[in-house]
Formats: sequence, structure tokens, C-alpha cells
Amino acid sequence: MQATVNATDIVRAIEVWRPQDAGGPFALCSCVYGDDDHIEEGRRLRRFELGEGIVGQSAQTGQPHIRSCEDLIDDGIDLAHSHVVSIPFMHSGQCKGVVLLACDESEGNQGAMELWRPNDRGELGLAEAWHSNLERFGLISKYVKFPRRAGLPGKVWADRFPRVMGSLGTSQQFLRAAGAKAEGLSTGIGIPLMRTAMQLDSVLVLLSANRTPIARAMEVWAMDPDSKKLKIVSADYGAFMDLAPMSRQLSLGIGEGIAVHVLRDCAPWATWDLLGVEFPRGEKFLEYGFRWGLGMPVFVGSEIRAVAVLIN
Amino acid sequence: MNPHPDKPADPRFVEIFNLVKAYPNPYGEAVRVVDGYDLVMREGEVVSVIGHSGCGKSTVLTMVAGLNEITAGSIAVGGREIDGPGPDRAVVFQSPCLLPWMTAFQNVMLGVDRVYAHGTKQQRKEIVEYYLAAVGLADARDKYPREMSGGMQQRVGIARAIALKPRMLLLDEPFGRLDSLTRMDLQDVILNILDRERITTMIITHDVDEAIYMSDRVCMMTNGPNARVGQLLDLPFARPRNRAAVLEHPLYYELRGALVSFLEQQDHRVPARESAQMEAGWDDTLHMVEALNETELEEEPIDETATHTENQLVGAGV
Ligand SMILES: Nc1ncnc2c1ncn2[C@@H]1O[C@H](COP(=O)(O)OP(=O)(O)OP(=O)(O)O)[C@@H](O)[C@H]1O
Ligand SMILES: [Mg+2]
Repeated sequence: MQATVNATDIVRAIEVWRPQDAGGPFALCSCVYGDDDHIEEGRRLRRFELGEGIVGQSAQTGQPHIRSCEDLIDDGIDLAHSHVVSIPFMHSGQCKGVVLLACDESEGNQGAMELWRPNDRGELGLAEAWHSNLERFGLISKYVKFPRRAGLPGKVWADRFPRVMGSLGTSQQFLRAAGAKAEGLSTGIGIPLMRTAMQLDSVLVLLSANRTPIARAMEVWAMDPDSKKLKIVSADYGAFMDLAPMSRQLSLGIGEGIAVHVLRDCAPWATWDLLGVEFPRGEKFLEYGFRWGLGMPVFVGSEIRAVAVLIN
Repeated sequence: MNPHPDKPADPRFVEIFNLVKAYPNPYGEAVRVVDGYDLVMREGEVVSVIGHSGCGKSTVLTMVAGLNEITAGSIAVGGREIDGPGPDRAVVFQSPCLLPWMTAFQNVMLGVDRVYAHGTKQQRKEIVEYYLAAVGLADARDKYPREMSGGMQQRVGIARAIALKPRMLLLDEPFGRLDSLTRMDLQDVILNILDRERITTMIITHDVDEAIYMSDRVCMMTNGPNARVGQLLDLPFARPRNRAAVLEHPLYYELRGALVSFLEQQDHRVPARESAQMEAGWDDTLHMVEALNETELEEEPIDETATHTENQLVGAGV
């Protein structure tokens, strides 16, 4: 299948902030920038204490947030027409890292970042969200609630396990399918962000559109209980179908792949080096114009249950 | 007429948790018609339940009414787990089942006599007359069921249910047999009563417009077997409801579209496109979560040293 890199990527920046010492100031450890790589140098010098800025706040409270970049000037995220989600990774109450994912909402860019949080009735409601050029879908989503086990967020909550859903527009499992279909949303990933082993803070949902994907490949990796190797549990490659059979066979051991890197470090990681890291798929990724990967650990209490990987 | 004018509404007046109904199957394992139904209703809230025919709506409603045994899970109304039918819950079905040898007045009085046994005869008469008037039957009090249209009979059924002063009203397609004009009249009759008396109401309907007009939220059920709540839709319309205002609300068609498309989505059986696109992805989450939960159980007594290794892979020497 032919594919080219989008000239203007919807993802403008991915930053992984990690504590220097336990709880200590957070520094930029890995990052991926679209056309905005000039900001990297300044970001490398930046530090955030616990509670400082969106990084420090998420690290301190364990709560993710979605903000307009206009409101984050003091944080040093100077990107026009963009929103950022800050995702903290809490391991036994301690923050192992914060991912900032900035997406561009210029005309034509479609995609969604959503945080679903339990309300006083024990249903998930949309707590914070960014819907780019998905006006109707975004509008209706505000009125939707999911009990445990219902919809993508409710399933992720009940399972305490992340999940990728493809073909959103036709899926019986994706309950906002009609809106998704009308607006060209194709693939979604739901990631549980747990406060403690049993208590959910929120479910992060990223929704990718066909024309302007946040990630063209979305994967969930977990340890196969029998082989003790990492395998992909759910994934979707959209138009890049031939990546599916090849990926499904993979089973990763030492030093292979983004997922193993994340598992080893117990922290999120972003990389440009798909060729070097993702053997044997790296060449295919390059051929298709994929450039970066982001791996995120899914913690449940003291356990790392899975690794969510986005590649684009 | 508000029975508790000062008391704030209980946000969890009705709590249905992980409700299951399995019917025995002579040919094999029992079929779980409803499996893991969760719903919390605020006091005074009107929730409509929609879903395809046979998905299990009536099964849920009759379980809440206490008329149908629960296989698993729980239902609490007003903080008390239900155990069979009770005067706190009144049910109206599609056909009102009036006693044919009694007038409208006598049919309503039947229940009032039981519930207000301590009241005087005059008080009870006034209660019956009040509710007959509330459903627009002041002039038909002495008519027998055979002398009344289906719509009028259903009005008697509604008056009979509400005269019992239930804390919860359960309506199973109450207008299913009525023509659309009568239906609209009766919708307003019920809404007027609900606006005056804060009765927590569950109403099953096949009509999405009715669901939107009547309720504060819509509960959409997935197809059975193993039916459960698929999603809930909050409705942003004020009470008392005004039909024109609802229809003209800027979100009306969006919300209606969401309901219709949910039903369509549930309907569409083996989506050809989905199976074609399955090649681009897969989902083994169910199996993995089961496997992980099993190992979790096995390893419950956590080894002290294990908490120091950051994760299993490192622990395994990888
Ligand atoms: N007593 C029973 N024994 C076995 N199966 C039953 C029994 N009662 C109902 N069922 C089955 O349970 C399922 C749900 O029935 P239910 O009447 O609750 O559906 P419903 O959603 O109310 O349908 P409708 O919209 O047609 O009223 C149906 O498949 C029905 O066949
Ligand atoms: Mg029924």
C-alpha cells in the first residue's frame, strides 16, 4: 500500500519528562517534534518541580489534563493552534514520568484526545477533551456516560487493561460509531490511568482519523504468561494492513522493540529510531514513512500490566 | 404536592448493580438474557430504556418491580435492597388490566383502599378523584372499561398506579398500543404528574422521540443475550417540558441521531466491512485479561523480594 508522510502532522510534539531522582525535578528525557524541533534545545534545559507547571501538576496529583497551548506559555510550550494532554505514569503512588502529547487543531486536522473519569454515580463521563474538527462528535460525547464494561472507556476500566479498537465507524463495540463514521474516525486506543491498583483515575482515549492520524499504528503489548515474552494483545494498522500479520507473530525478548524498552525502564519513551529499535519491522515502517514511536507503561498498583505503543 | 420539598434529591436513589437474569434452557446451559446491567438513578429522575425487541428491557423492569427473580447482582431502591414487589414501586404495562366489572373510579379505589387503609372514606374518595382528574378522566369516573377507548383505559391504569403514591414508577411501553395523538396526550399527562410529584421513573419505549421528550436520560441497551447498558445519554432539556422547545432545541437532531444510530449499530449483524478490516488489526484483550487475572490470583501472596524488582521482565532476568 502506498503511503506518504503528511506534510503537516497532527502530532506536533511528544515529550517524555522523567524525575531526576525519586520525586525530584522532572527533565526532558526523550522527545519527538514535528516541524517545531527548534524548541528542543530550550526544553532540554527546563526542569519542573513537583506541582510546577502541567508536568509537575500531573506528576504530583497523578491526574492527566488536557489544556490549550495558549494557557501553557509559562510552561514553555509555545505552539499555536494546539492542545496538550499531560499523562502521568504512576507506579505504586510514585510518578515514573509524564508524557506531553501536543496535537495541532488547524483546519483539516481531525483527531480526539479524551479523559473519561468516574462520576458520583460510578459512570464514566467526559471530564476533559480535545476534539479537533470533530464538532458534532465532540458535542454529543459530552452527553454520553458509560457504566463500567460499556463502550471502549468502560471496557478499559473494567479490564484495567488498555485496548485498541479499529474500524471505529463500523464497530459494534464502539458505541459512538455513527459519529465516528460520519467524521472519519478510524482507530482508537483506551488506556487506564489508575490511582491505586483498584481505583481508576481516568481512561485516556486517543482517536485517530484516517486522513490525519495521531498514530497510524496503535498497539497494546503484554507479557504472555506462558512464554514470558512480550506479545501484541490488540492492535490496529489501518491502511497498513500488511503490518498486521508480521506484528502478530512477534514475540519480544531482550533489547528488542519499544515495548521492551519501556518495560525495562518502567517509564515512557519516545524515539525517532524505528529502524534501530523495531527489528524486524523497522524497514517496513520506514518504507511507509513512519517516523517515530511512543511507548507508555500501563501501571496497576505496583505491577506493569501492559505497554501501549503508538507509531507514526 | 412535592412529598419532600426540603430534602435534597438522593443521587443514588435507585442502584442496579451487575444485574443478571438467566433463564433455564432445556437444551443446555442457562442463557444469560441480561448480564451485568448497571444503572444508578437520581431521585426524581426519569430514565427511558431503549433497545431492540427481545433484548431484555422488560426483564430488567420486572426485576426492579420485584415480579421477576434476580439471578445475580442487586437492586436497591431508596437505600433498601428489594425483595419482591412492594408498595414503593408501581408498574404500568402496555395493557392496563382493569377489572371489567368495575368503573374507572372503582378500579382506582381498589389500590387506594389498600394503601390508605387508615384514611377516612371521604379522604380516599378525594384521592381517587384527584388522580382521575390528573389524568383527565374527571367526567368518566363512572364508566366501565368496555365503555372506554384504549387511551382512556390506560389513563385509568396510570391513575391507579400513581394514586398508590409510589416512590418509583415503572412503565413498560405504556403507550405501545395507542395512536400517536393519544400517545402525545398521555405523555403530557404523565409529565405533568411527574413535575408535581417527584417520582423516580423508568420508562421502556421503542420510540426515540418519546424517550427524548419524556426523560432526563436515555439508557441504551445492547442486544441480547448478555444484554447490558451500552451507553447513557444525558438530555439537556429543562423541566417542565415544552414540546416545541424540545423540538427546536439546537441539539435535538444530534441527540436523536445518536440514539437512532446506536440502535442501527446494534442491529447490524455481521458487518462485512469490519471483517475485511479485521486484517488490519485484532483484539485478544479478553483472553489476556483472563490469563492475567488468573496469574494474579495464583500469585496473590506477594513475595517481598518481588516488590523490589521493578517488573516481571527484569525479575525474570531479561
Ligand atoms: N420466562 C422466560 N423463559 C425463558 N426466556 C424468557 C422468558 N421471558 C423472557 N425470555 C427471553 O428473554 C429475552 C428478553 O425478553 P424481554 O421480554 O425482557 O425483552 P424486551 O426487550 O422487553 O422485548 P420487547 O421490546 O419485545 O418487549 C427474550 O429473548 C425472551 O425470549
Ligand atoms: Mg418488553
